[in-house]
Amino acid sequence: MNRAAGVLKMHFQDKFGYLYLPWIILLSSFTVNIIVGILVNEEKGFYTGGLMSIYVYMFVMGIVVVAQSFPFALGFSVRRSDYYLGTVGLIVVLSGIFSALLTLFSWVEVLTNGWGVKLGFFHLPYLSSGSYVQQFLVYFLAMLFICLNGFVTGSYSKRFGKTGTFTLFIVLFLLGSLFSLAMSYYDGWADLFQWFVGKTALDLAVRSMPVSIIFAALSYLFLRRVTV
Amino acid sequence: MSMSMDDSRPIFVQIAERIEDDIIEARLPEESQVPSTNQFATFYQINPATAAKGVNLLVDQGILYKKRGIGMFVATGARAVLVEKRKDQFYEQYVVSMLREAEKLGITTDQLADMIRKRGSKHE
Amino acid sequence: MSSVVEVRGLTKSYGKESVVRNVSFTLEENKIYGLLGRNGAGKTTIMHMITAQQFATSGMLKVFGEEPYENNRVLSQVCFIKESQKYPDNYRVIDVLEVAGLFFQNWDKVYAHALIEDFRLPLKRRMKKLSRGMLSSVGIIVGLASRAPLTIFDEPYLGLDAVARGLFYNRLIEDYAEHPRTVVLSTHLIDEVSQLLEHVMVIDQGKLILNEDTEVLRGKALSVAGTTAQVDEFTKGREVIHREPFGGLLTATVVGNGKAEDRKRAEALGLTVAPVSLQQLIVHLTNGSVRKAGEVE
Repeated sequence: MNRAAGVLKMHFQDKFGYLYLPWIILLSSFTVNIIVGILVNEEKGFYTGGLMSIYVYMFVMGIVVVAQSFPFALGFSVRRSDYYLGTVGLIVVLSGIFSALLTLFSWVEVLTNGWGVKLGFFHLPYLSSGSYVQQFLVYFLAMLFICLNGFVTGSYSKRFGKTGTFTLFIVLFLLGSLFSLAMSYYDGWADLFQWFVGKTALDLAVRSMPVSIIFAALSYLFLRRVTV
Repeated sequence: MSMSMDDSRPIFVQIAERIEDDIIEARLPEESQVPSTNQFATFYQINPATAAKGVNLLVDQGILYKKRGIGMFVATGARAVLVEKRKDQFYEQYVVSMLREAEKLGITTDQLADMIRKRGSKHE
Repeated sequence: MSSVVEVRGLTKSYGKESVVRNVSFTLEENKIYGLLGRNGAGKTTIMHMITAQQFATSGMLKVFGEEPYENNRVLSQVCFIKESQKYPDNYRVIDVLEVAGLFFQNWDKVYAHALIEDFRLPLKRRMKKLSRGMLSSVGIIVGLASRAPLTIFDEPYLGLDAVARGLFYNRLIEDYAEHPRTVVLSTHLIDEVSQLLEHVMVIDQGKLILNEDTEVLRGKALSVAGTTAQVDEFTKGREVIHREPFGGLLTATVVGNGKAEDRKRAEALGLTVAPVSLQQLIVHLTNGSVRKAGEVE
């Protein structure tokens, strides 16, 4: 039996944590917003950022999955490469399923004119523009990006420990500060802003793919040498 | 008889000794079947290989023999052989150490013989 | 007899400090080995290297004739039960068993469930909520039911009471008799398991100081007591692993060759002779350095 598939099954042994909980959180936010919508009854409708919650969850999940399941898998004689493939598989499968659901809910939202209270929860301007296929891709690629970002962070942390992670954040902070200073010095902020504004959500989502791939590749490099 | 083994002597020897005891004291009659090595192992909580070693020791000495497909059996005449062996060991194990102890205490050989006779006649 | 594990010059160092030093041994198939030694002696590190969870600094290591790192041919036949095993937060006992079935190719589900009943474990309880003893029981059940050709138990009975430990030994012997495999039991508790072991390896401060058949070891050492002069006479040129003054007398533990002549010679010199158990032997070996006769304390 393919052991990477086994790792995927291993993750799904905890259906609650990976499948249900993110939606419980998302739908709780949704419910609250619906109630607000009913109570406030805004004429022109309103938008909310509640959709973020599932993305935040996936980011955290990416970070935490390594600490939670890697020592366990290794202790059960699973190879590092099988663990890696199975876990990236998990990320892709979850992102796919969730994004499909988000697209579906978005479609229903448009159909019901904001769930009868003109609430924009799933279908948001800029983010949800274009055909439903484009919407799905935006949701999907964004989720992949954010989840793999968490995953590479978690993998790095497992590989280099507390000191390494601390060092990384200091380095990132310094780089970020340097970048900010350089941008201010060379008046680059306006150009950067222009560059972003010119792109559709789909554009940006597609451009995130190479970064996602880099995250994935780095994760493998880190996990290869982790010891338990 | 204690169930646990003496950790300062080879266990396979102790297994053999226990089987020998059972044969001498007629708990295992001749031509009767001896428990399997796995049974010994689980009963005494010892390694099956050790139990097998003890059993094989007795097979080598002709005390036990194997009936293929059935198990280990006590050989005819085994008891007689073992009693002879024990009689030889008796001298080393009991007589020599008794004499040594008697010497420490200043008991003469004659006094010792008297003691033995007195006790012995009580049994007859 | 093919070798299941072959280790030559295995060393693990963290910077200047060596945790495992130049260890060499071979494990043959279908035997129960004891890997003994004090806490922190290096046993756990060695086992982690055998299972590719830790990387050696130098030396050769082969399991089933191949290197274990990222090798499914090897890893799927190995089951390493450690006392520090972590489980995913939301896992219940039943989840652990299901997952074990995914990765151990000889997994016996029926046997696992029979053991669950023997050890009285609640299948639906979360691993997080298990007592230390129950946690150990889960490990033992996974190790036994894995039927992995190389099964390693590292201090598997933390928190287990005497009854449960007895149950473990019992089931281990029963299963080993029916389905032989190579078992490594690592522990600092020697007396309880010594009867199960066919072969003993003792690690002390990262070095392999003893690698011997258990039955050969039993009865090899002698404890003699008498006056200093008597003891010194007997211990001349022999390996003394323990010397202790007692009142006006001296006792010494000497490694002999297990033959009766040794004992007789000691008695002839006027010494009192006492047997030395396997546990005492190993405790002496790992307590201090081995001294030759005549050395002053």
